[in-house]
Amino acid sequence: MDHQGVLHALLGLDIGFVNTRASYFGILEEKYRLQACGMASSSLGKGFQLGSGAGAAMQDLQSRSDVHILKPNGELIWPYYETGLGVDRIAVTISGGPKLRTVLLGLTEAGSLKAGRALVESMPLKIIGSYNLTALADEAGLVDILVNHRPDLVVLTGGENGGAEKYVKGWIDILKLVYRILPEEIKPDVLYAGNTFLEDSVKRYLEPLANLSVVPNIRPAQQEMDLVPAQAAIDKIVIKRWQKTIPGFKTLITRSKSIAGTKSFVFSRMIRYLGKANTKTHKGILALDLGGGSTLLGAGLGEDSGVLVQPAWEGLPEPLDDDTIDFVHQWTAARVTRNEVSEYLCNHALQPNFIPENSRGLAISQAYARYRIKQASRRLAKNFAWFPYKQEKGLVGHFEPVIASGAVLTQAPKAGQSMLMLIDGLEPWGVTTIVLDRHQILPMLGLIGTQEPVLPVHVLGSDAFESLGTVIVAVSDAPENEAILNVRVKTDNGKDYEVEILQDTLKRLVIPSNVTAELNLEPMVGTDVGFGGCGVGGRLKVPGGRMGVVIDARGRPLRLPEDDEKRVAELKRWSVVLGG
Amino acid sequence: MIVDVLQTASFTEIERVRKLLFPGQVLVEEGMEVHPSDVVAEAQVPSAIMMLDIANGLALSPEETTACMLREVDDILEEGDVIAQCEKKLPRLFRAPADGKIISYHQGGMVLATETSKITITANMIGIVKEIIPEYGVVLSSHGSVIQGYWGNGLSGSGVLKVLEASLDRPITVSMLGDMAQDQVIASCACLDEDALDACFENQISGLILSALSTDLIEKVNALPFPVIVLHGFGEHSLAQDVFEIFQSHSEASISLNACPVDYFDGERPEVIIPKDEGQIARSLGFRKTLEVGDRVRITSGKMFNQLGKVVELLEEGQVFENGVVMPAAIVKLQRLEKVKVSQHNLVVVG
Repeated sequence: MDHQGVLHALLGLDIGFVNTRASYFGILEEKYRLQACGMASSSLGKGFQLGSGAGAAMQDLQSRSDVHILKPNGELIWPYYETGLGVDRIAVTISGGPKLRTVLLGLTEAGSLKAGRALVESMPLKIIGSYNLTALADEAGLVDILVNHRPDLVVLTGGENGGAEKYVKGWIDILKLVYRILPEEIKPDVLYAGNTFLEDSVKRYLEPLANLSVVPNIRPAQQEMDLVPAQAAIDKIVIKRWQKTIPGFKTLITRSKSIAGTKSFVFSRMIRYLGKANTKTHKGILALDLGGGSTLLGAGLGEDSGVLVQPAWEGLPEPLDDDTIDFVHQWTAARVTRNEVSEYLCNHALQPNFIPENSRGLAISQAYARYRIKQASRRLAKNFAWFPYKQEKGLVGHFEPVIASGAVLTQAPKAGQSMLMLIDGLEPWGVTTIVLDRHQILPMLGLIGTQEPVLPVHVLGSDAFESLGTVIVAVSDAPENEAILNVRVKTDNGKDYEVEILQDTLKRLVIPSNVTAELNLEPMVGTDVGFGGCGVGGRLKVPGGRMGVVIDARGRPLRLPEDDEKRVAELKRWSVVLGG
Repeated sequence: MIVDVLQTASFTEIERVRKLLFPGQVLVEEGMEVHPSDVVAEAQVPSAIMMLDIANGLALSPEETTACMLREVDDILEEGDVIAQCEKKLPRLFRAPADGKIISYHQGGMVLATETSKITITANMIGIVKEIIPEYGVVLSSHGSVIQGYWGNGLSGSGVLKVLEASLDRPITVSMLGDMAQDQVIASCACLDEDALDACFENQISGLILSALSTDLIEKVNALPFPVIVLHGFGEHSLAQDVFEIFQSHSEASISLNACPVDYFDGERPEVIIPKDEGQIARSLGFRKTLEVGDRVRITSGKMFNQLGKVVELLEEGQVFENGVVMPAAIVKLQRLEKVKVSQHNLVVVG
């Protein structure tokens, strides 16, 4: 590595709704490595400055490592000293701020509004109104409605490039009026992401009035969707607004010339990067963060990528619908009533910091984690047609690896519990590997990569990410307990054995982290293991991991016994199989 | 670790800011006494938009219409006022079809706002106007007891406190409610019974303070016309002894309820305020605070739920709990002197 102009030490600060994490990246043996991490409560809320939580996270980092980044008075040592003290650059990702209330304007529900919704749901925004061209029939009424919404952001989409102009002009007229009516202090930002042929006219009419951002059309043609430039513009808008609304945020990012980005935006950058990097394997990449404030799910498959942000406790503590309670109740590996589930979730929503101290609470939390994963997957598939998640089948495409983070997953008492939450929530098909991002650095790499492109490459190849194990899903219509797959296992530490997999079972093969195994999969005629159809098998080289190899022959979709006692017993049995 | 602060103070100084998002008019004066439903500030935004096709009305081209305009943007009109006048062979007038304000004019078309919608800020408490924030709002102050909770149905109000003493740890029933008066605010244990809510509604009480609420009743409570505050969460939790004692000692007092949702950024929690003049002032600890040894805390999980105690030790290194979860803990000395280990995450400071 040429050390001239090199950044020697970078500090990442990830500010979530519940926790602030500090990550220190330095150079070891010519490569960037994650060298230390720290965590503290986020100092969000009235009376707090964001910097105090960040300072506590840095103190924690320093106290747990040899890294020296703070002066005795707690100030950050910046810039970096040749002696190894301090940091060259600070990167701040943030997700804990209030979501921007957003109005979406477009032409058709199935066209521009669908793309607009995918855009809004990929960023820390909340849709408070969505209108298509039929709303233009009552311009006066619409102006009233928009004024009453008092949005923070208006996203104006619509029209394929070169398409009809008159409707977009209708929206421009409406927005001009809304802008004239709303007081200066609450005028929204406007993002134009529609027909590019109209950009000049949008600028001419709206720029003198509004904080206008113009980006390329998010739906330039019928089957195309490109959200990236719009996401970048929204990222800037959100960061700008949060600097005004979150005490201490502006100071934090200006004092040390930090770079800053919303967590969802930098997360989507990493997803794009990893998705493209995986192109040769024809597999996608999937990353999931079950954070204290929100769920982030991103998938990349070649040139396609998409991200979804959902509140962790969406709608709570408002009345939960029966389907939600039923789902969480069904997946709770403890004898609890539906009422207990409902109360637990509503109370947890009121106290986002809460962590269960007993087994029943933990079981409900882990069932809710499955619900969050499933909900996010459904929603992502709704927003991005290429994402192959089907409600009745699960994640039918090949996504490898699945990178997971969030305390409920990374701090689960047993690795098997983390593995089960992920498999049950996603219901993957074929073969995949599960990786835990214990320090939640994946989004941070997306931000730091803009300053030091080689850093993410180095860190992704390091042990900063923990391999949880490989999952092989065998799907068959065979009756229960019938053999559907034979697996021959040869490990590089000399073990050689064969395993028969029965329908409706879950099996774990212990392959320690420092061992590699070669698996020869021989599925029965009606069994699909993701090698190209039923009955098609093959060889597979797998690295070891905390869970080794998990063979899931429970079928798709996963079904649980109706009887409560049998259901809980089954859930516990699966947990025991995976060591939990 | 930073934890939430929920005030349960027998006597404290209370100061709350009520502010508009944009300039308007402050409707109260310094030193005035206010009640929860009093509007302290209001702002107006034009509404009821009307699109006027003046060019069509005058049978002129847009350019010709502009030359005929007599009024301009921001003018206030009364119904019948002449907006434009054509002086051709056959003179024609275009009159305002309603009272309003001209929002815009372009190419023969005018936009008229015929009404204004008011955005108001209410006091949401009984207190005195301590300070005026010109054009935006006020700082209100009071002295008295404050009891903050977890959830509210979004309304505010006031009334005379009636404590259902029999119900410290028994869920509220219709028979417990007895005779109710319209100006009463009833404080009780958990509500699990829809009939009890119906009875309160039928008697048009002024407010309800509950230790807990069944999640099945959230929708119903959201539709009630009076404020409802849930102090300890959802479920069947009893009223905490310290809270009960404050209520009990203020039975028949005038109280105010602000059943707002929790807002981390504005620092608001649903709260009950019982104004009074004398007492030993408890220091306000803010909206959240860093947990410290000596803090008075309430436990929000497990068998010791709702118990009050004092933090005697903080164990920052991860402690293993019954379910295997590892997290920082605190040793809390309960009021009955027993010491328990609790996750720091599951404590709230009682201010």
